[in-house]
Amino acid sequence: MRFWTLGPYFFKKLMFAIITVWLAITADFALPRLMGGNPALALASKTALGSPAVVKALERAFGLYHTSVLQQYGDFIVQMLHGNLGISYEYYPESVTQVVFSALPYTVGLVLSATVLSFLLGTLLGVVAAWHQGRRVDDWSVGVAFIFFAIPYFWLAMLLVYVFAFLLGWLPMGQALPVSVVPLPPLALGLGIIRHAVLPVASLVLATAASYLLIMRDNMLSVLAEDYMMLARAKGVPNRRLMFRYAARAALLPSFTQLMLSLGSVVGGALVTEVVFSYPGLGNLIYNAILNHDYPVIQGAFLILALSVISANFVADLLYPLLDPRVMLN
Amino acid sequence: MPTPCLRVVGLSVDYPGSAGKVYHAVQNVSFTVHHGEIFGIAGESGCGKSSLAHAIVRLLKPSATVASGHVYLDDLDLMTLNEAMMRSVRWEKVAIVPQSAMNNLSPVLRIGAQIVDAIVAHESTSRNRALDRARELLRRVGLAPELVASYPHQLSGGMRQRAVIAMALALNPQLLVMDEPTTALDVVVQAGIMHQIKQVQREFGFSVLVITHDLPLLMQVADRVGIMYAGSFVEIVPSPVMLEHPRHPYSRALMQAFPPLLGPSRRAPSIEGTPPDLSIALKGCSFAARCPEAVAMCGVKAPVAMSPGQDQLVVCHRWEEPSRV
Repeated sequence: MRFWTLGPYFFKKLMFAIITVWLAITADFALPRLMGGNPALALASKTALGSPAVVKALERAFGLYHTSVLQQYGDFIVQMLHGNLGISYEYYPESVTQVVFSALPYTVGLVLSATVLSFLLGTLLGVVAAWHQGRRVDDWSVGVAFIFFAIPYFWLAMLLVYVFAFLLGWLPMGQALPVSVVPLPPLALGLGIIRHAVLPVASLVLATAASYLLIMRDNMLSVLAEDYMMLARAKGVPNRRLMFRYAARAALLPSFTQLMLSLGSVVGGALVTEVVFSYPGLGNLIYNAILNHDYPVIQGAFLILALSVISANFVADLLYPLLDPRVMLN
Repeated sequence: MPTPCLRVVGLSVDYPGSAGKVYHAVQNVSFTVHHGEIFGIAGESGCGKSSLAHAIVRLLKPSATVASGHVYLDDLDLMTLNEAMMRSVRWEKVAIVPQSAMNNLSPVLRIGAQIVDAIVAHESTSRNRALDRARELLRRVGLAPELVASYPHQLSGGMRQRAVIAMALALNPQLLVMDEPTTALDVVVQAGIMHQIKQVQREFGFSVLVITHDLPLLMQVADRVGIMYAGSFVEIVPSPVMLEHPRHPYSRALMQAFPPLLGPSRRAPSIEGTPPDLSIALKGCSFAARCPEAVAMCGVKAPVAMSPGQDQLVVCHRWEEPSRV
């Protein structure tokens, strides 16, 4: 399918994404207000013995000054469009934007690479396993996949830390950056970041590749049984092209949907990983924010999460017609 | 006499069944198809006609085995070729149009690309030049050349099957095997496609082996027809002979099972009973149990294949008795 024929389709999907964003923002606005209580009062009583002047000042700072909810809603959206998500209670007086964006790159780097690696590994193994159905490579990859699928994730992560960081000492036990008093040269810094990312990424890949493998293998098997595969084989198409262009291409759609869904949760999806590996990403941030009732941060993180899920779905919708021409029909 | 295009000699195909049974789907079948001839095979479901077609191009399901026999294409015995050689012979000398009209083309590739794939798999030519040939092939089967850029879901069932036929003709094979090419299409489309095949065949002179359970349609296009029953031919005759006086009682019953287009309507008689279990060796004629004309001998002694004329065959004890209905 060529891109220029996508006009109406693109527009429909874009409108859908915009409406979803608006709904997410509204929910994000409503949730903390539904919980009740006054954060300004809470913070003032914690830091300034409940001084009414401080409460008033804080209410002003948090945007709770106006009495009308509608007015607050308007302010909320205007401030958000200016990139102002409020002020963190926990890291006061740092803004939520600062707090969230300092954690975001770690999480995105970690989970994005893990997701892409896991998709590539799992899908490729699924293709190969289905192609050699019932043979040794199939038995082994499915067997191993089921084992990793069945192991509780946190236990797998802890096991990796125990074996590779604690017992063997090959890799660091936690954090994202090498500890150093002097600034490191870029190359050493880059290598350090990669070394710190190996275990968390590996744990995520091992835990999630299995589902890609099983989905792909299953879809491949049903595609391989299709009549057009027999005809393609009969007309002499070489095996490699048969396997990838004819079979894998047609079987890819469900795996691709799963990839896009998990790309959406890249931002918030690695909570357990980040806690186990003490990785300073968004997951850790949300975890601590929940423990400390830091509502603005939770709100900000929720917004980022919603936006990334929506945009990943939007991108997926745009890519579907390129993968499978039949999508344009509906 | 010139070498026939296709010569099948003593071909048998077995399928494994439960509890160690073996189903003899095709039993010691021999026949020839001449150059430039359209040969039709008809028979009810399960008579072995599809197995026969797939055995000829060596595309049987992995569970099935060719128990014996030879398939000569000119002088080349396909049964002796290794897989790589068979792969190159297939499509260059013999191509197949399989049954499923709706599902013969990959949904994610353009029609043109799928035809090009067939060409470049056998010839060292550029994809661009192959695409030009794909356009010409589509035109040959009555489709617009622009359809090379379309996906299968944009075409109707009849158009798809025409595209598959174009794909089968891509390398000018000497024999085209068609396994129920028009099943699942409506009658008007069926007739259109069958006549197109006949027209292209007259123009290019290749041979066609058509398999169908639609005997009247078959007789419109085929030069000779073979009737299969329980894994073997019971009769092979030119179409006009089949139309005028079929010799085998099964052929007659099959012919009568189709209502006539003209004249008063009548209830088409069905053939009572069911075909025999192909895993059990029969003593007599395989059709004896259902045959309205069977005599005592039919149940105990298998009839011998007789040849009432050149390239003809009938397998019945009573084929010469003229007085029958």
